[in-house]
Amino acid sequence: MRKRFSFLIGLGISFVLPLAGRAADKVPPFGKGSLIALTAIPQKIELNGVDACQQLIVTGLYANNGVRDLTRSATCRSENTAVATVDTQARVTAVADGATTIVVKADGQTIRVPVVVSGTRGEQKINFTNDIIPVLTKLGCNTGACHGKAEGQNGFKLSLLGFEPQVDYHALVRESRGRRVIPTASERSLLLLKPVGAIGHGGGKRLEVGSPEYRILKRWLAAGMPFGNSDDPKVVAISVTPQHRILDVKAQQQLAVTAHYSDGSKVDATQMAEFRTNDSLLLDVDKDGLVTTLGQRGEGSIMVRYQGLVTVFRATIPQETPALAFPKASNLIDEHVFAKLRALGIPPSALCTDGEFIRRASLDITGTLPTAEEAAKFIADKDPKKREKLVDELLQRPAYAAYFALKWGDILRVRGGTRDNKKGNGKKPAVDPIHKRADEFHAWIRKSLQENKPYDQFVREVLTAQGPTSGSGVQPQILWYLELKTPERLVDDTAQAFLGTRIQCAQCHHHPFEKWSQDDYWGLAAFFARIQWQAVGKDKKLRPVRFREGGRMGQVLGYDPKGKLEDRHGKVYDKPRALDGDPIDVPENVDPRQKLADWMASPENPFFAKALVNRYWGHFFGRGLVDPLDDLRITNPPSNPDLLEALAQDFIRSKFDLKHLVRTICTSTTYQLSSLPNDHNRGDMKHHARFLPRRLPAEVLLDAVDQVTGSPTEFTAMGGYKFPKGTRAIELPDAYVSDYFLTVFGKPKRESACECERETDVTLAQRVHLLNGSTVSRKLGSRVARLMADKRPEDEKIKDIYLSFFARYPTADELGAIKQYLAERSKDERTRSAAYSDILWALINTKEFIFNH
Amino acid sequence: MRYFFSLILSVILAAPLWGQKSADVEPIPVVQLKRKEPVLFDDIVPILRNKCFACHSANVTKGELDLSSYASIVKGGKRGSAIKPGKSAESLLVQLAGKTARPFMPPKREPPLTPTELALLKLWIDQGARPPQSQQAKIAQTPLSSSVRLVRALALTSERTIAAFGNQIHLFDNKTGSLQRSLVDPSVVDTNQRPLGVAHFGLIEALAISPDRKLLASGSFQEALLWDLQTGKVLHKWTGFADRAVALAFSNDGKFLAVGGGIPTADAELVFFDVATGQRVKAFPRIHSDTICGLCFTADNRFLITASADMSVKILDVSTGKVVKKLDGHTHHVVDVGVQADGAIIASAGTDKKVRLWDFKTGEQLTRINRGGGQVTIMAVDREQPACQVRFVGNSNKIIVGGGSEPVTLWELQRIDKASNYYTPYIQPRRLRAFEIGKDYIYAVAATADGKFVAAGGEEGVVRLFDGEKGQLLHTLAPPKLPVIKR
Repeated sequence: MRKRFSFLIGLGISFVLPLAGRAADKVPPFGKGSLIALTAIPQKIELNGVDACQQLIVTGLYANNGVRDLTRSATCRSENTAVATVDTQARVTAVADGATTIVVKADGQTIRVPVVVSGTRGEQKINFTNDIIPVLTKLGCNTGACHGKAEGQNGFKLSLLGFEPQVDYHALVRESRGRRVIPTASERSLLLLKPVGAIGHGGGKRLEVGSPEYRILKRWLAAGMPFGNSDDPKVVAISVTPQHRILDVKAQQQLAVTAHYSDGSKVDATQMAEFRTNDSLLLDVDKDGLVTTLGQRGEGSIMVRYQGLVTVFRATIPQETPALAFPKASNLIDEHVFAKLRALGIPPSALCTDGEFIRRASLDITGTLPTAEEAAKFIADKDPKKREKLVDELLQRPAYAAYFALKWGDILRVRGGTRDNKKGNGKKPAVDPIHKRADEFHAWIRKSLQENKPYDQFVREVLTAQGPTSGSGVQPQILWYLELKTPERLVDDTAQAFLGTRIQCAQCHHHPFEKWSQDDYWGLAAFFARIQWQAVGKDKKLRPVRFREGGRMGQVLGYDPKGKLEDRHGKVYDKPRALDGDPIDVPENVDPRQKLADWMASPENPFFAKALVNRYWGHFFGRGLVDPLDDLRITNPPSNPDLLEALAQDFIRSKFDLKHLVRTICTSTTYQLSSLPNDHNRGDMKHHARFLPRRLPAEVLLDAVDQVTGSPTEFTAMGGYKFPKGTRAIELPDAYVSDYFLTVFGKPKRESACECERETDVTLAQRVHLLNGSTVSRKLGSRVARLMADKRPEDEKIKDIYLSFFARYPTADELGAIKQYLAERSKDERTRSAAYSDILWALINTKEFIFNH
Repeated sequence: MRYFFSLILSVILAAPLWGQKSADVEPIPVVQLKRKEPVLFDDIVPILRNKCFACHSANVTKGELDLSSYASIVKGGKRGSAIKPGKSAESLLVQLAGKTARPFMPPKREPPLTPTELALLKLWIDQGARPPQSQQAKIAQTPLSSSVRLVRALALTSERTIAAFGNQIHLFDNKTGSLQRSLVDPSVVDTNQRPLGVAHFGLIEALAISPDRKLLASGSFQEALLWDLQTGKVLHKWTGFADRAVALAFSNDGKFLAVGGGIPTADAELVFFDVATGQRVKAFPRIHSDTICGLCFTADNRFLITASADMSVKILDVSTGKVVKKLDGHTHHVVDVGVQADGAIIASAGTDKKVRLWDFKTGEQLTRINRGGGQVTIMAVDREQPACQVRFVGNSNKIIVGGGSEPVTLWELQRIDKASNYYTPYIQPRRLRAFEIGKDYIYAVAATADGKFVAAGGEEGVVRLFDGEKGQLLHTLAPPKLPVIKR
């Protein structure tokens, strides 16, 4: 009993200080057995002012040392309803100054929560930003679909999601001589008549007469529509109680939201906060903050938003498995993955076979199928360290650099341009064609990867590119600037590609799901304020080009020590400010972009390393720890936060060594798990209990088809130029390639920094093209000819085919079936060759071939 | 063969549909409800919401019928009121929805009313068509917070400035800037029946001074007052307006007072009163579909010009009550209007950040046409912020414009008659002067007929009195210390 009580106290403290660190490991299990004690958070309630309220969280402690939310099922009663009332969701509301007690009862257990109400008499403090804006947001008035859109709705415009209180105050109180507000007859104000539906409202009924939201609007009107004083406290943080719970399916959990003000005060904000589920298959949440778990098990989160601040509640819904067997952990990845799987009760699959491993690793690291010889040799190898050795060996191959240059070519938008076969008429054009820049940038990326240039250095060199775009002395990385041109687009791509953050929204308004404001956006943009596009005039002198005309071939990316940026409201940003940082004074002789690179590469940077390891995790596992993989934000929590943190720290410690990262991932046991599910991990899609099979990317698949058929594709650029024979699909430098196969299988046009531009789904067109398209049928002949000429026994030849396609030997059944098929068609040369062709065609169309597994 | 069968089959299947199409629609059967408790408005709203709102509410009002509020049901559509309280058989709503009169409603593709629903509607009407509860209850009014002292209305003579601060009216001497008198309606009392010592209970929205400078009209929530400026006494109190009395105008002979207002987004209200007797002379309902915010008479009193939040300005023939011209061009609420003494130009102030200039005769916006290139430029006073008031200065061609946190400006509407080859004659607004307003947010401006004084007031709760010719600030007029309102 003593132990239990100390545990209860611990629970209480973690609730009282919900902002203190993650307590993932200490989360108690879901309560089972008999109810032993009750606890309420907060333990005592202080309410200040008219309509002040506090959500109680009632938790039961059960015989298994587990906890369960009883907020809705417990009966709560106020001993003096003239002081405070309590409703069925255990929300306590102030009525008049005084003291009372809320008696909470459940299953024979009782606790008493003292309540003190003060400040209900006299002038009530009311502040437009703190009290009214949240109501407008909660009611949905200021969403992008209603009055929050840029042109407003039916003549009434609010700022999007209430991020500009001054603008909203103007619209509500002042516009058209105050037509929307009547302070002495507040309930006849348009502000109240419209949302309650008393007069026609395009947005329908949004508000109940007499509801808490109605009452606060009414009080504000009657108080003469005050804006509040500039020194009134502001909300600086929000927290949710509880932060993390282990729940069963079909269980409930009430949340309470606390707003923390700049003067140190805390106010319950459950009523006005917005709740949204991030995992709609797992969790549901209503407007009052009641979370319901649905039928599925796993881990999910609820986003809580209030006043532009966001936080999340995490719910773990473990499954009950009799005994969990885990393979040996190889490195830090396995420690964290297995810990998560244990918490969720999901057993991992068995280890994959050697054949599966060499195929998987070769495809993921080099974008290339292993040859039959490589596969056979690897399978036969008795060295216990052979998998680690294979990873090392693959990382040394040129194909590693080629394949990852393809990936980085997507991210850094190596788009290129059309190219033709004309040699020219002897006159060299004044300006290079853009594809020349693409070739050079691609070669530069490839070389950097081959040399294993530290990632921070790689990014620094891209970020700080400068100089001419044509002629001599061109830096290859200048292409990135040529593609992006303006500071705004540079910020968008910098944030998305290198910081894993989508900040575009904040260019024009506060980010709806993040803390980023326009100041954050333009602070980041100011790092690019001093770049200046210049053109060579007739007098051979460089002149700045007009805004929006920069970024063309032939221009020079120069430096303007006095460069400044303006947003669309004319606000000037001259001091760069990193995300979550302070404004930086940069001397005129220092390029602010160097400071940006410094900030990124500093070990404390919370974004840079995480964004990269998450991106690479996504590459090897088909899904980022944060998904989408370039959308890191508080409201999109990683599936395994500890793993992301540990992997990022390891990457920083390795001095941003990309090959080290690949090695760590590929030698982990997690990466080596079979793709075959067991009875208990079939439903898991994000905790890596098994390897998730995924379709080969367009280029890799085409190369694989080429390799198994022995018939390389010749690639043609848009414009007619033919790439040299032997150029593989993964080696193509830019996006201006005309190849139907690559298009159908989703090679991106490189028009965004998002890897999501690459199509990874399986579509009908792809299936049909593989089954009936000309690409495959044309290629079969070459391998068929070799097979016809091969005088070895059929067994050997079929084993060869299986090794080259699947990196494994055929099963006895497969072998028998194929031999029988061939035997039935051995009448003459023509039927035999057709039979070989059929077999190859059938194997190319298997999922085992098309997928990496 | 297969095709043949399917053809026959489809003919057979289609047959009943044809039959149905040609048959007459049966009226919905009448059923009797066993119901003791009265039918409330709230009981019938769900029926209307499910079956009628799609075409008859909010922005969609087919047949000009809006069934989403009690008032709009009573008002009805182009066929007249939807209900006759007490007489369900004569009510259009029951006839059409009961399918006893055309056009049947809801239209044939939509589910009709059930017999029970129809019976409930009938009963509601036969019981007198109870309005919603909230409409019956008297509107709860709360005293104006002492923090609200903003100036929404001003009147100016050469001798004195009359300003409304919150719900008070004070008169100041223009020379000295000192307070002369406060206008108090002793019938305005608090909940304990103690006089509040103010002019109105609610915020004062409008002031107008009679042509002989002896009378003052003031407008507030649901009421307007006529004051004798010499004695400070209330001569008439007009009540019963639907919402605030936002616009006031005396006819130039001083005989009539026009009061404009109306519930925002509902029908406008416009009423004429006989100044001498206080009698309501006539009303012009439904002139606008939103609040009337500005009014002015032409010099000959034949026409009244109205500005409304429905984005239009209209010219009303006072004798016939007909709208002779509708001036369209504003893209947001029109909040004030003025007309030049010679009746040639109308100026209107809009929340669309423009003061637009109109030709009285044609009703067109004044434009400059560049004949060479065929370009048409609309002549307007462009502003950074919404305009709140525009006033012509006496009989001159000058206008004074104010609104928002930008300076009050004086403009001359210059007539460019010298017909060059390239331009038609046009009126060019030329900025003469700006009056600095500090950090105030301006709602009201006024100028004396001779242009010697200009006044402006707004959110700060002070009135700035300027030398209209030099632009300098003469006095900052503040209300006397407000009596503390106990709640």
